[in-house]
Amino acid sequence: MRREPSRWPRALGTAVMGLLLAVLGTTAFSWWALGPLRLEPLIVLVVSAGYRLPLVLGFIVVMFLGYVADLISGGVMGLNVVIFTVVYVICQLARRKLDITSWPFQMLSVGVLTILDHLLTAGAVTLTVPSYVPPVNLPLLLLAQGLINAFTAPLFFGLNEALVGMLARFWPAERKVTP
Amino acid sequence: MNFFRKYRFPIIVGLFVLGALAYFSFSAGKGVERIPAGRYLLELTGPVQRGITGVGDWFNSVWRHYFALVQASEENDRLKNELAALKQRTVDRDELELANRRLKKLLEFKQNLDYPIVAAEVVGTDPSAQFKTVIINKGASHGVLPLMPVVCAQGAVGRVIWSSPHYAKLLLLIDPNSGVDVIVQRSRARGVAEGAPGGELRLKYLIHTEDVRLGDKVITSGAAGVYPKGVLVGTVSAVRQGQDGAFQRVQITPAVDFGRLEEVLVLLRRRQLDQ
Repeated sequence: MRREPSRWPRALGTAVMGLLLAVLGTTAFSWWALGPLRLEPLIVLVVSAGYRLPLVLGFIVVMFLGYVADLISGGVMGLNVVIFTVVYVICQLARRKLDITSWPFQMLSVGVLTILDHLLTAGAVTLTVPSYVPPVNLPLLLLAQGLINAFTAPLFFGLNEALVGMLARFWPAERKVTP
Repeated sequence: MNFFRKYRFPIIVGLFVLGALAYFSFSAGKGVERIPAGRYLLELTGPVQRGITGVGDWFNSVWRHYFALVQASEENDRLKNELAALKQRTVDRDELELANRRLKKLLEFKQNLDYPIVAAEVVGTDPSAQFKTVIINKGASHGVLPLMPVVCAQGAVGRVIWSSPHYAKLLLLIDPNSGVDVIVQRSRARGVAEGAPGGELRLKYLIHTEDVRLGDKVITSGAAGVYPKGVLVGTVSAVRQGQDGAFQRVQITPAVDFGRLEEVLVLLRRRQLDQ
């Protein structure tokens, strides 16, 4: 019997994994991009944080992830921080109302929130850059990206849980509760 | 305190959302270099990115080289096939050219003949070493019948010994069983040319008094009724005076290269025999 890792290993693990996946997102993941579609592991981690981390600590981690995303994506600084915060809030609200423990639900959340993420991004870019015209096939792209993120979510959930579990094993407070 | 506990969630959410928006407002339009923390973070992530990119480039390079090799190998195979096809086409073209030349000679030869003829291709040669026969692809349905003479552009070839509806068998001049009445073109000396070992012809029944020299051309006499008169048979290649008998021993090199016999003309003149 193993208990759920405490908040600190989870927060640290999610942040480290986010940093690692963000770097991979600019390198290895972009090599397997399907045109405009690519792997987006950070949104998966945001959803994971929203469902598993406590409110305040989760906010910090998610804002860090947004910051990292803003840093390496080269977009408008602060945009991902806001969007990830919104996504995180939605997850926290869902966590209070729904049973979010099942993986299919989490995958569905990732898919839906990916679409929301991109809609917010497109809206923000449209507001900040007047000359920006969203692509005509934006709905299709959003749907495809949502599906990709939803179906790859278990992989990143799993990676994150592995790192969190590893950190929990060495975390001083965790050693007492983990057999 | 109770108020905070009661509205903890919306207060915290509101604070963080406002904080995020404030950050967005503050940092929007500013470069990364204006944000110290970002600079350090990039310093942290940069080497990792470079390392991953380097590893990725290495794998990519290996992958591309592998594929390049595979593609080069495939291209090599394709080019080899194309080269083989082109070589075959060249051979085919050369064959056509050679066949064209041969047929042209045959045509010229045919125009000099006063007989109806049938052109045929050699489709088979005799499997035994003792006999010299070939199969042609024209037979009785084309008017090819036994005893009809067969010639080619170079000269006399032989005669038909049997025919089926679409094929016929020829007895070549060089076969030991073959014999044709001939004359030496220069001296008009007369004899019979028979097949001899080694693919040569032997001129028989030529008496000592006849004038025969090396290089003399030997042609058909037309006397036996098989061949028309004047078809080249060969060239005298050896003359010996016989020690025991009245005849000279004359060897003739056939005008036709029987080893390369491909197209022939069958003279439809059997009626000559009947006359």
